[in-house]
Amino acid sequence: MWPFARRRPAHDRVWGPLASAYVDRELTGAAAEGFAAHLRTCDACAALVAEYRGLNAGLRRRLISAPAIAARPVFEAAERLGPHPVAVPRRLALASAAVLLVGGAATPPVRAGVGGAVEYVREVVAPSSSMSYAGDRAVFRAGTDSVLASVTREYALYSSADDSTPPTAAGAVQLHAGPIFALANGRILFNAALADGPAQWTTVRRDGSDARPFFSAETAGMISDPAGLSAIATTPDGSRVLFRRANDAGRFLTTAGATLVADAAGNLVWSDPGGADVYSLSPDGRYALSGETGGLRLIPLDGGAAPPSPISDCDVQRPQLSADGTRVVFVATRVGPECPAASALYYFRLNGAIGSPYLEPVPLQDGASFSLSPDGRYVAVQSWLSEPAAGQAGSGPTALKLWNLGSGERQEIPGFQNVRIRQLVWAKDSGRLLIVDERDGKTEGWLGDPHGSMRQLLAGESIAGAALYPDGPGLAIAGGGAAAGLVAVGPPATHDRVTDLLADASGLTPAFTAHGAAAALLRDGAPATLLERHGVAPAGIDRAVDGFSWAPDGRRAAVVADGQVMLWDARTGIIAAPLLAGHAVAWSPRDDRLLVTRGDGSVVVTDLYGGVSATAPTRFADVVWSPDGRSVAAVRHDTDGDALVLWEPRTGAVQQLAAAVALGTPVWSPDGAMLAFPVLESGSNTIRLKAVSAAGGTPRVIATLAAVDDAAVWSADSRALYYLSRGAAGVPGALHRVNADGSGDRRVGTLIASALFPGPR
Amino acid sequence: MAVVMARVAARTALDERFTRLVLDHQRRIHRFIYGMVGVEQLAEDLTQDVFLSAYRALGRLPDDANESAWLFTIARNRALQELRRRKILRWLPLARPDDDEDDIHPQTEQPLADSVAERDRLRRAMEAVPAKDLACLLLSVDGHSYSEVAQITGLSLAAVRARIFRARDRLRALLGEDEAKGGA
Repeated sequence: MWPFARRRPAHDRVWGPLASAYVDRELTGAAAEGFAAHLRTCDACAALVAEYRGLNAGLRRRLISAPAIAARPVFEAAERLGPHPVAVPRRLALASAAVLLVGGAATPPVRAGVGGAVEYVREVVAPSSSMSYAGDRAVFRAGTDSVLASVTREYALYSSADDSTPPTAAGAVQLHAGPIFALANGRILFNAALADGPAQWTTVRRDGSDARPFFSAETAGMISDPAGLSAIATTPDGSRVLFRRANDAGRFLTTAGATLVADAAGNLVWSDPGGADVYSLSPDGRYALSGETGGLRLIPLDGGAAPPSPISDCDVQRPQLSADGTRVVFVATRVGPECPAASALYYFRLNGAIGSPYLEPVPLQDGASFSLSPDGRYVAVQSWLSEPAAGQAGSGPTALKLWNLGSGERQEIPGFQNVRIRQLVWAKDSGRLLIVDERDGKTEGWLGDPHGSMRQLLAGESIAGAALYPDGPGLAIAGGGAAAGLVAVGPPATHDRVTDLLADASGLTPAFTAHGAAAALLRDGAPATLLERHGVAPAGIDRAVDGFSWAPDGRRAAVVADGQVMLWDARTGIIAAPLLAGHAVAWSPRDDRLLVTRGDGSVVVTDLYGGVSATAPTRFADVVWSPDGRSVAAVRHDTDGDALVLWEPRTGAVQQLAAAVALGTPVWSPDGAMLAFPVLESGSNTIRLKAVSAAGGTPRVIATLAAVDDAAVWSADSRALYYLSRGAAGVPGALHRVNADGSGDRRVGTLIASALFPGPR
Repeated sequence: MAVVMARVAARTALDERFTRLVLDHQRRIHRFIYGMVGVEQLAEDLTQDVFLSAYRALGRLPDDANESAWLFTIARNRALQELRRRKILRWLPLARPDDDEDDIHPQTEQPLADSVAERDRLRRAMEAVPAKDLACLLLSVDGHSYSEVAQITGLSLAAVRARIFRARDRLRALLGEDEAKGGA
């Protein structure tokens, strides 16, 4: 408590400033002595000094009660910023490359923040009726009548016998992603897994026929977990394939067996006993090239003795060797006595003056692509368009250049400024260059003479990868891919067209506020990402969220974290004290009531202080508010099966709408008139999507689903449902639209999706 | 080559300087910002902002500069900017007050409600003090001399003295009023 004496304004005005400074020991000399003398005679001043001291103590307690802050986040954030002073926003380049946006011209980058982090993102032009969100990866737009689908990119295999013949589809091969490789035995190597699951390294003939696993049975038995391997490179003649294994963070491992080389028939040629960081194979297929701190290691695949490192004093990464073995290019990333600059590309003549650069190194961005022609005369390299002075950091746009190793001349290959290079491969005869790049959210393939002109492969299509045949002018292309990631599927008139929302949407559940002004992107076990309408400063949620439900006004949400229901303020990011224990929560769409499912399966309706106003008469699962907030649809697990019920919390009334062996989560139509639900009926192995009127009646079959967990999504006008037609739960499937009466079922475009969500409505 | 090596050496030195800066000042900066904004999460974010700004600008700070004053200047400006930018929304209290009535504070054996109420009163009063005055007072309470506060805030010594007094006087008045109401 604060024992304050009565205020004496006239006295305090004169003596208060002195008393205040006296308390702070800021009075000196005569002023201090004078005030001290006055203090001995003035009770009011003595009281004032005592009060000020008490106030100081209170403020200090207040400051001391500030919770401890960990030093780590600051360091981590600073590390993310890169070295200081930050001349170039590195994220600009990275984020721009990562943004996948289709269907509009790009405008200049804008800055947006998410959860306190600053990101650079790009805006796209889109219809004015759409909405815009600033995410940590992109600004994206979705119409109010859209359905969102987490879409898998699906490519077909194309082949072309020579440069002049347009590529044609080769068989019915489907690929999830690149790259692909042309092997010496006339077959194409690719990953046949259709989603982000374990790799299935497969080969087919060039016409797409005769698909079979790449690894021979004997090899498959010798290596552990072949599905965890990534194919990295082949020799120019396609006789050797380099595979590496990565950890969960995508970093290649250097442990025993993590790197291996196979021949074109899938037989194991070499397996690293451990320690090698292999980037490429020598063109003759005799060596694996390992970059080491202090040099370059050529590891003989036949088990012979390794020659001594031809290079010293450099931390060598990503080395490539010419076909005759006399020239090597690599990136030096560590400053040592003989390697003067970081992130530069070096060229050495191995039969010349070993240990010193033959030419001035080319400055390049971290991770930039380069490729040494097999004849050793040129390097195609992505570097800064305006090369910085020696010792300076590069900045500005990047360009693809041809570095003549004989003359040192560097010439730009036109048309590749600021693109992200995915693949850069020389033909075996060094006469053609194959480029797969990513620009404006699309991947493109190019082939041609880098001294002359490049022509686009499968113009207008997305390209996952391409491979030049080692025995002639032909090539194979994985192309034709539709959009991937989270996409918006528009209304019926245009719904074959999709808009990319987020390039990486795996495992992500978007939740929009009632009017679509904000969205939360939720991932299991990870902090949620909050997206708000562009221009509004977003606030983050700093903890893993297990349940999430927006308030109708979109300014707050109920979240479940650590088994507790809490309220979160969207503007400040503040999470208030827990209300009550629970593992799922749904905010009423009409008012400030929460539907909380508790750990024991009981369901209660609470106010925002945790006060319970209704308790369900029995345990319910999959509870969903009706759009008018009056009733709750739920699944009741009875001893002989499941029942779909409507519970009215105000009256306690429960009405049964359907019963079956198993029921999935019901979905309300936006107008509140209908409920759709997945159902497995007795005597049947087929799971149906059914719809029933909320007023009761006989449920109608709408479609067939792969699993009871497969929920459907209503169109905004309540007239139709979207669902995924797929072989099994979890496998990507085709997106279908069907009328609410079960008629007019049709596949929406060529979309292959793994999950569906309602869009902003 | 020598130029490159010199740059690398300079960068390492800067990193070391930043590390020391964080370790030496983070707690105090955080405490000051927490005093200003009163919200734990926000204070943490702002503290991080302060050090990120410092990280960006550290290369331009002379070696003999008063690092503490420099950091507190950034912190004060950041806190004032934030207070201007957002009228801080807080939801209080979310636990019903009667839940806490019987709780006993383990150290003081005083009813917890007392210390909580006292803290809340002080917090409310602090919110009603002009932010620039409050910043001066909090800096002083945290151990900065008036001349340091003047350096941090860019004010004259006389202005610092006046603002600190004004903040104290205002707090005293507000808490006194509160007391009077509470007693009525």
